[in-house]
Amino acid sequence: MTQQSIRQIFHRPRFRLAAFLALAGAGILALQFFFLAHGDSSVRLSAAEQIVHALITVVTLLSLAGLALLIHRPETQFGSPSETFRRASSYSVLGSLGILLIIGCLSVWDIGGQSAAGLGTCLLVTLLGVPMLLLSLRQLYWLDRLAQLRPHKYSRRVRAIIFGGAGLVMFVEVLRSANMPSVGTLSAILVAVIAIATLFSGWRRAWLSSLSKSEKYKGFAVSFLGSVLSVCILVLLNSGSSDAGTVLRRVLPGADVLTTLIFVLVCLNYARISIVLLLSLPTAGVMDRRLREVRALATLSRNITHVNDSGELMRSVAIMVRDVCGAQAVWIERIDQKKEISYALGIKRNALKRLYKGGHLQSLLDAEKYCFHADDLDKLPQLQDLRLDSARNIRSLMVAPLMQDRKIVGALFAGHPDEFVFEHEDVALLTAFADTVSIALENAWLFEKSMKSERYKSQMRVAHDVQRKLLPESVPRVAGLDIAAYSSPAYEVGGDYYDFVRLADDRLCAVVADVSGKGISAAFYMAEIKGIVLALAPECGSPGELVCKVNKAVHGSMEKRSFITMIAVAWDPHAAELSLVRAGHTPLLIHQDGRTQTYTPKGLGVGLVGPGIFDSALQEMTLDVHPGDKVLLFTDGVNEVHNEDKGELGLERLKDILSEHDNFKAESLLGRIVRLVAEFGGEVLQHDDVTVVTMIFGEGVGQEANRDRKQAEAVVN
Amino acid sequence: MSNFSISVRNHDLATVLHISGFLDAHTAPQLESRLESLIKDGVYKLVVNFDELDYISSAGLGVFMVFIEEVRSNEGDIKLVQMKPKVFTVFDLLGFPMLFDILDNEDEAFVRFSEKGGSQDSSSDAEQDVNDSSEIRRGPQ
Repeated sequence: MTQQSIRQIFHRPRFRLAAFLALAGAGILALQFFFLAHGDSSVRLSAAEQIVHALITVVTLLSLAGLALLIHRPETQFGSPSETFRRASSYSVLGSLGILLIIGCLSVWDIGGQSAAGLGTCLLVTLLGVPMLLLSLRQLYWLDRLAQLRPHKYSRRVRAIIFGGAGLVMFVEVLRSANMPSVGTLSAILVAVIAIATLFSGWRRAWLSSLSKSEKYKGFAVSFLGSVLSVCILVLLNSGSSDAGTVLRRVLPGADVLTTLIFVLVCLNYARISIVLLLSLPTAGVMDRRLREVRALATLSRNITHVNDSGELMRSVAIMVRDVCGAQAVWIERIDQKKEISYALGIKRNALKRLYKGGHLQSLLDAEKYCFHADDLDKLPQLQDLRLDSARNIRSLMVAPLMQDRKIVGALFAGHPDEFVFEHEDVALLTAFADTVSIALENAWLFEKSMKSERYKSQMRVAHDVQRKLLPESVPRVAGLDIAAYSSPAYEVGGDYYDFVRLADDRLCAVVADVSGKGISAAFYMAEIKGIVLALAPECGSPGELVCKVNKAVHGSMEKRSFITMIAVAWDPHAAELSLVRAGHTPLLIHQDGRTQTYTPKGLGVGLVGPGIFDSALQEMTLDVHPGDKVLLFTDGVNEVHNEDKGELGLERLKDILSEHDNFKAESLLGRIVRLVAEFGGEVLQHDDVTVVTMIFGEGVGQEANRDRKQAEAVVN
Repeated sequence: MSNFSISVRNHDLATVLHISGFLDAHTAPQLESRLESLIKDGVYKLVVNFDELDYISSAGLGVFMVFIEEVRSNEGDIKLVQMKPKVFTVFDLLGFPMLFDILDNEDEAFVRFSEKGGSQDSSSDAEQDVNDSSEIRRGPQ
């Protein structure tokens, strides 16, 4: 368990690297002691100096190991290649400047020249030499990072060659310092091999082209400076006049060659990068543009699938066109239903209204068929009014149509106050945008439309519920009379109405009405009729008077093509009579004495004519009713229900049902009729409102009228 | 769905509209716009032949009410002829025979028109009332 976890830790790359460095350092230290003690080095140190020197070197090596731990971080810490490159190149310059500063200090104090005597000098040499070595090693780290930015299949080998080679150079140099000068050539060869290897290691530099224009300029300046500085360091390190090499050698044998190697690599790397960048500078603008185009189109495609709000969509499109095409004003005009500026960016809508009157630009688009592009509006006589009204807001202009089903439904405009702003690529891009936007806007517009129809539907549901409440919730329960009623509109709302009211003489009066036409307008009249009937009934002595007064109230206020048919029956339990009036309505069916009869007294539809004709035409009938008599009131949706094969339902079938029906429950008779209508209509959509009222007179009609009447009052009120 | 058609034929004494098919809420606007354009052109003597009309709904009936007042105030009329019994029942239920001349055939209608305006033949009190245009539709206009 513990062993396993230790092994796991040891397998982590940074620990392995640290351990490797610590071991290598220990080995080098041992070698150094050995050769310093026994070799014939030009520098001779006292015992105390040797101890201090050794201690400092140990600290150095430990800090190197620590550094390795610190710098070996996961890749994710670094962002884009451009970010890594920025940090690496700026470090290269700063590090090189630091080393040059140290070299400068060395030459000022002339440390190397003194033949290394004295503890203070020894300390100073170590204090200046160790940072120099660390700075150089840090350069190597950043070089490695750059090479790893875009690894290829050989990069691991190349890396091994570089690091292994560097270790080998160190070893060779330690040998050389131990009075074996013959190996000097070997280290030179090694340096050359490593330099060639590093040239191969970093051939993949494609990411450089993804830098933006300004990044390229900066990158070129920094990497050029970096390579120049590294050349300076190389010269100073290896010229006889400088003591930098000596000082480094004294810190660690071979450190001078290692530093030389590192700066050869730095120089080669940054020289190459600066050349690549220099060559790509002329096309930097184009590359920038392409990148922006690609990003913009990617964003647009994303928005198409996610944005259902057309306003939001047009906003993002306008911003993209502005940024990518370099336009200052972008606007979208919709011309399919309502001609309007749907969105404007960078220009006031009022200015646009002045800019073109009544779709002038759209006619341009029609003439040019696809895309319109003007470099300088001032030079276009046909755009005279446009130019004059524009208040010089726009001089360059591009227009691309928004197409849906090969029809122009809108246009995408991009304008700029300067002339000759837009390139041909801009026009092509605007067209590409417009094509994509058409699809997206179509989606968004359809979505908004469906939202509207959804709202309409929910309003219709509310209307349906409201109208439901206009009809009686229940039928009156009267002794001696059983009543049942049913009403169903063909659509959400209908024009059928039924109600039970009390007349002035307290007779119960059943009213059934049917407004001509269907749907909303019928529903409004239906509501109006209910109000009128409820208001007038208590003042009317007979159903005839009620219907005449209703006609008087609505005549003249209805549409000419609309009218209402009504039937009203009032029951007098005392006299065992039914008073019946019919204003253009379907007849009353009554089953009595073993047969079913149709009663169709004369009467005009309500609202057709004024009171003069209406009142004189209306005929009131009185029927005697006896227990067991069945009465049926209905609207024409019942007898005119259609069926593809059997035609119309007709009155005969209703009469048959009345005759066949063998119990005295109004509800059961109603159920049979409603079922008949539904079955007869079959699959066909109900196309007219259906209302049925059934009344069956019970035992005791007439003889027990008074008692019934009292009971009826008690129940109804 | 739209199995309704109108054909217009000019006669010396009146203009005859031959309607066929179904006259309901969907097809009524067709007839209404046809009548409207005829009346706009000053045609006030109209005969509507119902010979081939299979069905009429309340919305179809309403169309005739829209124009009757204007036509009669210009000494014309709309006469309805050759109705099938089923169609006549609908007119009858609503009391239209009191408002309109509903006749057996076109010739009868022409005879009525030739007799001066169509309001001379009043055989009942009710009909006389109807033809008194002041009684029909005192609309807001």
